[in-house]
This record gives sequence, C-alpha cells and structure tokens, in this order.
Amino acid sequence: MVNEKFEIILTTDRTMMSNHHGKEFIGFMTTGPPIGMPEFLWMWIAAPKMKTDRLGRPWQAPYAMRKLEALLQDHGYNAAIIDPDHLHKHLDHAKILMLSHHDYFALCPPSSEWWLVTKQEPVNARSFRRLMERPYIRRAKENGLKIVVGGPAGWQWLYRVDLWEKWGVDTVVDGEGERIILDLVKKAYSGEPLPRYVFIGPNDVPMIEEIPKIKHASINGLIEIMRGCPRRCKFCSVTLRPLRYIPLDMIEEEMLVNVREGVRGGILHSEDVLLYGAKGLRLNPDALLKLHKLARRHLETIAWSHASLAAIKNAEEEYRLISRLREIICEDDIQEYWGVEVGIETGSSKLAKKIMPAKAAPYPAEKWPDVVEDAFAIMHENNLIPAATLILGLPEEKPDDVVKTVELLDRLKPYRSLIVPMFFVPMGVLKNKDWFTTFKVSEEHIEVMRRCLWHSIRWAEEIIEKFYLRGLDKFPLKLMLKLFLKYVRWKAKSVEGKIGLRPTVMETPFIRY
Amino acid sequence: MLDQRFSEVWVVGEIDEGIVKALKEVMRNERLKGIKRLKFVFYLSDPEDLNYLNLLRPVLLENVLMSIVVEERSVKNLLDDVKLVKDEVNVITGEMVPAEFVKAIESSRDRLKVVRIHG
Repeated sequence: MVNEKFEIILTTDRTMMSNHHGKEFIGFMTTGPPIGMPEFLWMWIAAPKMKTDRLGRPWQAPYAMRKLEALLQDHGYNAAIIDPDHLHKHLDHAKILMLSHHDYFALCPPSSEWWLVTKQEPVNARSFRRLMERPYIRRAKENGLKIVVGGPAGWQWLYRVDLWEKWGVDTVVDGEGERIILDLVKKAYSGEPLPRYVFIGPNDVPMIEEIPKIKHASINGLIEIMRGCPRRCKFCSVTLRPLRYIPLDMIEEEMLVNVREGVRGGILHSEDVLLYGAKGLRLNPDALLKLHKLARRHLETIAWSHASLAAIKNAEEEYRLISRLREIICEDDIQEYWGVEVGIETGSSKLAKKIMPAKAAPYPAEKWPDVVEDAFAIMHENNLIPAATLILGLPEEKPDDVVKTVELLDRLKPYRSLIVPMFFVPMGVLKNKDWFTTFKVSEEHIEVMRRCLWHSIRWAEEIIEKFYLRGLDKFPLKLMLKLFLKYVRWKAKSVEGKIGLRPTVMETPFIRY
Repeated sequence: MLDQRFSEVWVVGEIDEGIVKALKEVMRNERLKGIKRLKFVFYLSDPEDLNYLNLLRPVLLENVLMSIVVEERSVKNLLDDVKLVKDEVNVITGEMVPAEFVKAIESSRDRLKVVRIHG
C-alpha cells in the first residue's frame, strides 16, 4: 500500500515532463519561443501533457529524476516524482521539493540562440518560471518546505541569484547527485541548515555500484549506458568526469522496467554511444554488438542519444560496425532508421586542434572536416539520421575559422541531417570564459546560420514525410510541423529580403536550396 | 559526501573584488596542494541576502576539479566557531569587520591561517 503523503517530491516543468509525442527530437522545440502560432499550440506540439496516475505520478519522467527517486526509495524515504499539474495535491505535507532541468533559464544552447535571434524568451524558461511562481509553492515554502535544485543546468542559478532568492531555493547542486542527495535529505529532516551551493567534483561522482536502477519508466525509454567521456573537449562538462560503463545486466533491468510500464522504445544514452566498452578511444565492437542485440531483444525501437563523428567513421571503416549495427537495429524492417545527436562544432581544423584535439581521434585533428563529411556519408547510407550541432563564438575563433565552417556546410549538403548552430556557452574547462553577452554576431556567423537553416528545412521536410511521423495517429502532428516548416521557409525568405543579406562576403558560392 | 573532510575557507565581512581575488588565490593554492574538497563559509550580517553569490560566481566557475560547498552563517556565530576549530582554516576578512571578531581571529592564529585583512 502506497503512503500517499509523499515527503519528498521530485518534479520539473512541462517542457521536461513530457515525452514529446514519443519523438525526442520534437523536444528541441521547447528550447525556442512560440514562432508563428500561439504558445499553447507550440506547447501542444513540443511538450504535450504526460499521462499520470490518480496521485499525479507521471507515466514517464526524466531519467535523472528517476535515478534520484529510486535512490531515495531504496533508502526508505517516501519520495515520488509528481507531474507539475498535480503538485498542489502534495505540497502541504512535503518536506522537500527537488527540481531538475536541462535549461532552467534558457541559457544553454540552443535556447540562448533562439532567444538572441528572435528576441523572445523560449518556452522552457517561461514554463519553468510559471511553475515556480505558483502560489502553493510559495505557501509551502513559507510553511518550511525545503527546495533543492540540480540537474545539468544547476550552474545557471549562479547567473540568476535574484530568482534563487525570490523563489526561496535552499540549495543548488551542480553535478552528479547520487552521493550528495541523501546527505541533504538527512540534514533537512534533522532541521540542520542546508548548504547554499554544492559542486560535485570528479572525486565525488558515484561508482557504478552506487548508481541506483530506475524503478519506473523514463521518458521515451532513455537509458544510460555509460557516464563520462574520454575525448576531453574543452567546452564540455561531461568529459571532466571519470568514465564508467554501465554493465549489460543493469541496462537490461532498466529496459525491462520501461517495457513493463508500456514504453517499448528506448534511447541508449551516452556522450558517445560507440565508445561503450571501449578501451580509451579504441572501439569495442563485441560490447556494442552485445548491447544492441540486448536492446533489439527487448525494445521495439532503438535510438542513440549521442555519438561522435570520428567514432562513426572509425566504426564503419575498421569494423563495418555501423552496417552491422544497422542490421541489428533495423532487423526484419522493425524500424527503418534511427536517430542520434552529433557534434560538428567547427569546420576549422585549426580551431578543432585547439579546442577539441581528441574529437577526431583516431584520426588527426587536421583531418576534422574530412572526418565529418565521411561520417555524414556513412550515416546517410545507413539511415542513421543525425541532429548535428556546431558552435559559433568559440574562444579563439577567427573569421577564417567560421568561413571554414561555411565551406564544410556546403560539403554536407547532400547528406540527410538537421544542423543547428549554437552560440558558445562556457561549460567544461571553459566555463569561466566570457559569454555571449560579449558575443558579436559577424557576417560570417550569419552565413553559417543561414546555411544551417536552409539545410535543415530542406531535410526536415523529407525526414518528416518519409521517416519520422508515419501512421494515421501522427497525422495532426505531422500536419502542424509541415505548416510550421512552410511558415519558417516563408519567414526566412522575407527576413533575408528585408535586410538585404548578400552572400558575396563568403568565398564559397551561395547555395540555393 | 558531506561527511568527507573539506578544507575550509572562512570569509568574514563585506564581499568585494579584493575578497574575490583572495578566494581565487586560496582556491588555486588548495588545488595545487591536491585538495579535493573545499568549503567556503560566509559569515554574513544578513544570511538571507544572497547577493554575495553574484560576486562569488567567477570563483565558483573557475573550478572544475574540486568539490565545493558554500555555506552561510550569521556573523554572530563567528566567535563560537573560532573556539571549535580543530584543523587549519583559511580566513579571509574584508572591511566592516567588528573589532571583537578581528581580535578573536588574531588570537587564534595558531589554527586560523589569515589570508587577508582589510584596513
């Protein structure tokens, strides 16, 4: 019998507490403001409400929150994740409210970029603010509720101390939470003051045996297969943490949790899925084949969260591994494609060498643009659809580096993909660098953004039509997205016409899509 | 995690750029000594006022290797806390520190490593 008076509530706002119609890519729309339609419609497309039980516990919830929920329950606490629309039922008797987010204040890429370009606040930040300003949270706070916030965007609170104070946040946690969270709960229960801020250094991240297994379904079946990354890119915070591979039996148990609760697809999560089981940067085909056979056994659809372009090229060229994984993933035509996020970051091998020297490994950083194009070709041939990002405004970036990125984008034109430019946000060892408040958008940057826009519109139309949203049940969503793309195409053309952008500043020929 | 040994840095008095500079220096020195966990304790006249975090931001963001905990305490607790010190504590003092606190800190120099005092 469940004690319905939960003492510890974990939650987040609607943009996070949604499965985005079962399509993770659509979740990216939560990083933008509503464009060409009212906000409620944008939210319906990007972040529809999550099904809940009578108590307001969501069917699916963000994976990291599921981990903490499991940890707290394993230690005997009456804790539960609650959908934001049902919080009011629980706050009167809750002792602690825990919040997590990928982007509390829309300061991360690409939210910050959409904000800068459109001059409108993205819906993720709007939605989180609406959550925090609900009167019953203030009331509970006045009655002694402790508020602890964390997640990958924990650092953002250092830029919004005003809201930290206004909303009565007691503690901000920045880093992997498994080792700190029980300490904080014990302190809160015993009435001791909580620390104001905790940064978890690499020595205090949990070991594999300290990481709990989720007890309920994660959003779109996302399951972590490893933590950390050995590539040491300077702009990335994940790479600062030690590498840990999650054992197959633990991965399987979590897959089964999802399947039992009706989430039959899964996303294998890692900063670089192809490095699962690797020795350093040396791929481990056997581990990857076992992992994917396991996933195929239990899941109806498989996706990857992230992979590196160098690993994709290396996997195919040395082991024919992308083709072999495709045979497993798309076995018996159970699925036709799978998705992944990849980082191009720059088209300049000079900048790549400075800022991400191991990103091209085992190939030399000087060959980075070739690595990118080869990997895109491999993905295209294997129906692996990438959502790629690149970074504008990296420290030490020169106009010539941006021109190289433009040239690379021209080379990527034939390959099915979405490419999103992002402004540099200081994370990783660069997190103390100046931010986009001092960032000047140059003509070269604008040219990169235009090429990305037209590339992505052209391919998005095909991806939506042929791959992504098939079946009658997806028709309304497909229609809305197609209309949205038409609107973006029209708007982009009209803005370009109005400001008279001339591509002649670039050395490469203007590309017409 | 909070049960582990943290190297402590106490900050007493109004936070200003000078204190921020001193904090960065202490942080670098501690890192060079191989310290893995650092605790900043801010003795504030109004512990509810979080404005000091705006000044602390560049200090916190400079770190990627050590675990860092930030706590606030009322400056009224300082005299009692000084008496309880066992391990060496780095103390950074700013302006507007009442004389009795300065005296207490000075008289405990065997345990408190005073990094900087204004005035």
